Amino acid sequence: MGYRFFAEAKRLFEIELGVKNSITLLQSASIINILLNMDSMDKLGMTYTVHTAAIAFNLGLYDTPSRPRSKLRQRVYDYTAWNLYWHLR
Amino acid sequence: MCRSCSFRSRDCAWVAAPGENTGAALKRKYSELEEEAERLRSSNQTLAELFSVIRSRDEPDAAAVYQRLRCGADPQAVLRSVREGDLLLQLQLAPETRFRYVFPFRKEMPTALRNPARPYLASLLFEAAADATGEAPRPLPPLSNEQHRPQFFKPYHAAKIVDPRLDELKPSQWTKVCNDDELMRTLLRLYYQYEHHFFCCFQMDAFLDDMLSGSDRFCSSVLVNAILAQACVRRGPEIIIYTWRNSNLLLALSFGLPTTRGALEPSELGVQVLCRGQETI
Repeated sequence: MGYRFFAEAKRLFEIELGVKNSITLLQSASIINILLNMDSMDKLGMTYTVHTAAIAFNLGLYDTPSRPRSKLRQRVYDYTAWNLYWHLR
Repeated sequence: MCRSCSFRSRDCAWVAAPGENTGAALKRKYSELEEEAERLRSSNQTLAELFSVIRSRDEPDAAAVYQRLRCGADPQAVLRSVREGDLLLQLQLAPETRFRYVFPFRKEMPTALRNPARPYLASLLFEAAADATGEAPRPLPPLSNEQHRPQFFKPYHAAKIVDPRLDELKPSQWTKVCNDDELMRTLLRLYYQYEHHFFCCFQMDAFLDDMLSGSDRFCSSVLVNAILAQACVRRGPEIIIYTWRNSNLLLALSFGLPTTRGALEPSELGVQVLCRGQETI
């Protein structure tokens, strides 16, 4: 059961990665990363870490936003940025 | 044909099979009869047990058994599911929520550490722990006492996530893997209770709001699938009981239901399960 969810998540991730980078995609990449790590496939998991970093760069997660974000969006971005920093450091 | 039968010219009950002498035929008959008697005895025992179930259980249980029998279920299978249902019920007993764990080998605090200068000795946590060791055999504090500080008196797994949004979600809108909303809601609750605070990579409020409203700003199929996959890492008794209750036995097995091959009901489970055995996630 867990594997089926996981396989579906990975499949959708591949599809969405080519289309657009979003904050949810970044969050999913982190979860897939730790799931892979838990299965001691951390080499593969590291590729998802690279994905998270790339998406964060494309989204400008750590930059000063060029146009102001809504309050909720800003909060979600901050939260994710904080977690990603904790995870990558 | 035996002699007396041929003498009275009637059908012989002791016909020997071709190439079998009379003694061997008698032996065969005897063992057949013995098997028959054994079978009758066991089926009689089953029926008696089933009857006592109907007589002694409370109304809904007895009615359910009666209903299943009327539907033509095998009495043996019904009895077995009643017995196993009892085992599951024992699993489901609510734990004493005021329970505290004690250290396994040595319950008391070593005297070397009992220095009055230590702030730990004055803390509520220590008081709770001292209660549990039974040094001072005080009764467990009443529930009203813990209104504002349950974290000191209760084990973590006695807690349960309460969020109205979690009850209304329809995760099947977001994933094609499974269409059982209740199961996936249980998984989400487990995720929030045990996994989320360890690795909290998304914002819970925004995610739940958008999952409920169907907006894809902070919720997406990828994310939902990934979260559910992570939730499956933790297999709680909640899930096993849920899947068993809903007679989704295949699923219960995939969540690691402890079962032996002997306890399986082949007619209910099908051959696949027997092949899968004790496979877990």
